[in-house]
Amino acid sequence: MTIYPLLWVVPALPLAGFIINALFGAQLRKRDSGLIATLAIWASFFCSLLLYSQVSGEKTRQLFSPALEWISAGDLKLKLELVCDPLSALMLLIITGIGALIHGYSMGYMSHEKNYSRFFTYLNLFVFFMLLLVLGANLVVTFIGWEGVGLCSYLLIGFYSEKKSATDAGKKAFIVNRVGDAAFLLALFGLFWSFRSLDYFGVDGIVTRASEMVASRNLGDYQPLAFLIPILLLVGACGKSAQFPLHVWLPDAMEGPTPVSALIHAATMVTAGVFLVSRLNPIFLLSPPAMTVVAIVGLFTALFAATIALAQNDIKKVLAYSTVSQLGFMFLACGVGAFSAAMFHVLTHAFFKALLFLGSGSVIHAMSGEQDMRKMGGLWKKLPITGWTMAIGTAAISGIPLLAGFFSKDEILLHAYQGSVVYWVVAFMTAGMTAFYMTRMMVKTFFGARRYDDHAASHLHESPLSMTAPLLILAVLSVLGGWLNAAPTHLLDGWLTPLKIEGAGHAEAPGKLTTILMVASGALGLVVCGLAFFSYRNRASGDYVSEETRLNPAFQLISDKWRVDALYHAIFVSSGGDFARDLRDKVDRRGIDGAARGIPALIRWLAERLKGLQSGFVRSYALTMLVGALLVVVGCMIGLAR
Amino acid sequence: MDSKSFLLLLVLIPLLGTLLISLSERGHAKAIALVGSVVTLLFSLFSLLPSGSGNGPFYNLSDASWFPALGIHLRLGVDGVSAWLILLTSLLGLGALLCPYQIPEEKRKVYYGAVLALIGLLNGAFAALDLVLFYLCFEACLLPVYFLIGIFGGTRRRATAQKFLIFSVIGALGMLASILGVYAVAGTFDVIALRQRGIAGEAGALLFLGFAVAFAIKTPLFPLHTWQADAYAETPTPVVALVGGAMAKLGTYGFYRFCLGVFPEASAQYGSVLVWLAVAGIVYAGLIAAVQKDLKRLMAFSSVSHLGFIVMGLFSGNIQGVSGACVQMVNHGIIAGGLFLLLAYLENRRGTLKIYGLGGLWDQMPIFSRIFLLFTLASVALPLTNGFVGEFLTLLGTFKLYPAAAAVAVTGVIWSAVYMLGMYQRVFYGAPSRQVSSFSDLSDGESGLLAPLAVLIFLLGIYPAPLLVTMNGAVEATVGSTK
Repeated sequence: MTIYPLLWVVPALPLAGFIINALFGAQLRKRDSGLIATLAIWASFFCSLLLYSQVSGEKTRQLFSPALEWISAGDLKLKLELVCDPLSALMLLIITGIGALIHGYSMGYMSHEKNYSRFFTYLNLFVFFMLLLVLGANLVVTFIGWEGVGLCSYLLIGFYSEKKSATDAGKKAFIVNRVGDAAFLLALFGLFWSFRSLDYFGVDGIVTRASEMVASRNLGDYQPLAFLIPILLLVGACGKSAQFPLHVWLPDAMEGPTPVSALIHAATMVTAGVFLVSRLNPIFLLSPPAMTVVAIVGLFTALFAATIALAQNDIKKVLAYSTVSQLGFMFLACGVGAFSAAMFHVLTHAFFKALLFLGSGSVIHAMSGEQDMRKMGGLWKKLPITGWTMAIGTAAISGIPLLAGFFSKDEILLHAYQGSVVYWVVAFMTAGMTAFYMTRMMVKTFFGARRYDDHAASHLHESPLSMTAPLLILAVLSVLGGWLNAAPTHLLDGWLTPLKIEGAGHAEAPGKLTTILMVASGALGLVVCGLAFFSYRNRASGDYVSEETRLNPAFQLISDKWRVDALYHAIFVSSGGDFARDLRDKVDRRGIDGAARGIPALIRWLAERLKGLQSGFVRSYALTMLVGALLVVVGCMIGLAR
Repeated sequence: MDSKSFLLLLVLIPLLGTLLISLSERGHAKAIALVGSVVTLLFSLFSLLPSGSGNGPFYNLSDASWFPALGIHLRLGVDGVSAWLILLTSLLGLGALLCPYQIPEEKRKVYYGAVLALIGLLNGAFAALDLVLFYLCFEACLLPVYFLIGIFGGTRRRATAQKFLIFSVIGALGMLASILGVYAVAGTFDVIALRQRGIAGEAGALLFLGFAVAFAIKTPLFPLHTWQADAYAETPTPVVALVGGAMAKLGTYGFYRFCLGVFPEASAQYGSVLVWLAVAGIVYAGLIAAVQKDLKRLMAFSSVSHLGFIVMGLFSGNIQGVSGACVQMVNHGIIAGGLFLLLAYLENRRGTLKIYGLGGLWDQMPIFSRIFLLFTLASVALPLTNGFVGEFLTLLGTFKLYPAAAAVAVTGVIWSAVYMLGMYQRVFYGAPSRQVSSFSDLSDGESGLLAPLAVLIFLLGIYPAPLLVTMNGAVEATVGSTK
């Protein structure tokens, strides 16, 4: 075991940035405050690069930090300890790399805001907790980060605290995440009492021993929990990664400032669920039925969210549902055992989704806060850098050949096909829908007739360099990122080797099949994007459907997100509130307290009956004293007699 | 200083202070109370340090015959758990006394005298190792609170004070009967001797019941909780910091010290009943807290929910659960104490704690809002705050024997988020309402008073070892006897 103190430096840097800005942010000049926060993440990024080079070699695959005693009780010995293996190193690079770009972008984007330093305080804290999450050497350190990013999303989504919709969305994010957290905790307890350890690695570690079980196919005492625990973990992962039925918080999360959306959707938070499943992959592999559930949840979410994205008019909503859908692809990959393919898609998705969100931020910034695509159109000439970079992002997510998303999505489709043809058919359809709604978004925003008014036109401007530079960098990554794991080298797969377990993965796909599927998905992206682009471009509204068709009930249902939010509101908020109020008024006040109030009444009633026996107060006192004294004496006598 | 006598001083100094207040002029009341409370706090720091004679997990023992004919002694001593509870009492007592609060001139003597007496009696209850002495302190704690409700409460004070008294007296009678029964069975009131002996069998079960009912009312455990929200609502808010933070632990401490300690067999046998009542309370009180219209009542129900975790952990039957419960007694005291002090600040500015009409304090009172957020997060048991450690351990411990109960209880993390963040949104976010726009932010003195509690939230959250290590011996001895 290699002890490596640098591991603590990686999260300590954003933490330091957080502390400085939290304590002195109000006194600092705006630019300094943002600069401190941004530099902290860049520094963290360079440390991560160093760590990457340490664990990417053949010899050392795991580095451990010095451990601090944390909670000890009985045989539970919890330590604050970090571990860096290829999986966490990959996450580190995504979090700090994309995170640093988003920080830099925010310095421009938030320059007009009054609570500038507070924004960066939260942003740094967010990165800190996310780093803790991926670096944790045991489940509880991961859980600290897990809850911590929940807190930061609450604070950042509700950043505009005077706006009710924003604070509602923040609260919703926290509570929905807490549902997942409760399941996570239960899984954690089950794992502890089964394995008597919460460490991932080491001789007694959960991952180590579960991997041995996978190899030996002997589950021992763990057998009864083998299905339940991965399902509970999946519920936890669904909370963070916005999978059905816990997806409802993510689209609302766009109430926060746009860089926050980019951070949540690309670099942090939503990737946590996929990371957790990958980290604990032997636990999932031990239960094939649980794996099937993971695949189906992912597949369903991918399709379900894609249908919603087809009908949205808010540019950020389209992107939000596309995130939910893409995360579904990642869960599908996990469910068919292709964990490294899932992580590959996490990586490429981080590039193009950060690009798309920051690009949409640039559009919104230019349009003085307008998010409705029906009031945009024809922005291509006005916002050339934003337009070009977003076009690249769109092409990448749509699976246009040779761009980042093409490789990662193709790999998931291939593995899905090996899992079941049904998976492949649905996923392929969903990929087509992705290409379609993303092109629709591009056309509605940048092409067609101009639909904004003169007031908006007068403010229209391309964003400053601090905002466009990150877009350009991300565009380059969205173009080239796919080659990291492209055939025949499969660099990333090799690098993430522990994620592939002997006997659990799939046999190498025949070359012919690989080629056919790759051509199919490449053709799909090209054809759908092309068709959508050329047919949309000439429509004034930038849309296929007229506003009248939108009133069609079927269309309304999709545009209303299948009314899942409305259903939850009816069940949990309205009926739940009524239930709690009934509990308060009828059960607690009238029922339980009523019974309690009955006791004095009963005593009074008894007293009325007994009154006849007594003539005065003095005697009653005397009687009481006598009885009491007798009791004591009798008690003592019994005691002495023994 | 002879270590034998200073535990006694923790009781005597505050009580003498109360006597002094009653004899001296009104103007001196606050000064006497503060001096008495500071001296008590300093001495209580010593109660943590094992210096005197010990016996098993107990240390700093002293024993003086009191009523020799009845075998009643002034037996005092602490273990790792009660030492922390004494420290908590003294700390929150000082906080309650220092908290600015508008008290009518003519009622000052009662107010300060009562708070000081409460500190002394609570210390007595936590340090008593004689059943009769414990009983006297336990019951005498009622009096100051009863007077405070009766004198300072609002329009419903008489009904509330009566209800509080009746609930408490019913519990007391059961416990008194059990204490006499214990003497009849074992022939001693000495807690250490009783713990070594243990009382088993049917007699044990019956006597256990008497204690359990009294402590269930005191805690309060669902469904015996209905006195609490009313009592908190009518008690002066700074005092609720002491009552809700420290006195509420009398019940859970009683479970720990007497039910687990003296009746290990009955505790194991009837543990499941108490675990399920506790779990029911966690969910039930969490739901009701979400629909409260008054901040103090909301916190009262939140307490019922959080104390449910403690009772659940105590009867979980393993070290993790009991450690978590004991740690949570202290940590909940710190968090609830801080929250009630914060409410007192708000009440000073506004006159009422009705939620309706509040909003927008985030920009209006930035320091107050940030500190309040910190305590809110600790209350929802966010990791790295002290609120997490205990709830995590109690759940983990309970899961072993009672996985279904733990599965229901774990939803507590959802309910607490629902009612605390819902409350936080209504009070702090949104545009400042008209009545809020005149409020001033916290003064240095006000925030300074909360600083030690805020530091403890982080300190005991990031490094809970001081609590866990010092309590470990006591917990192991207690759990060992239940096995």
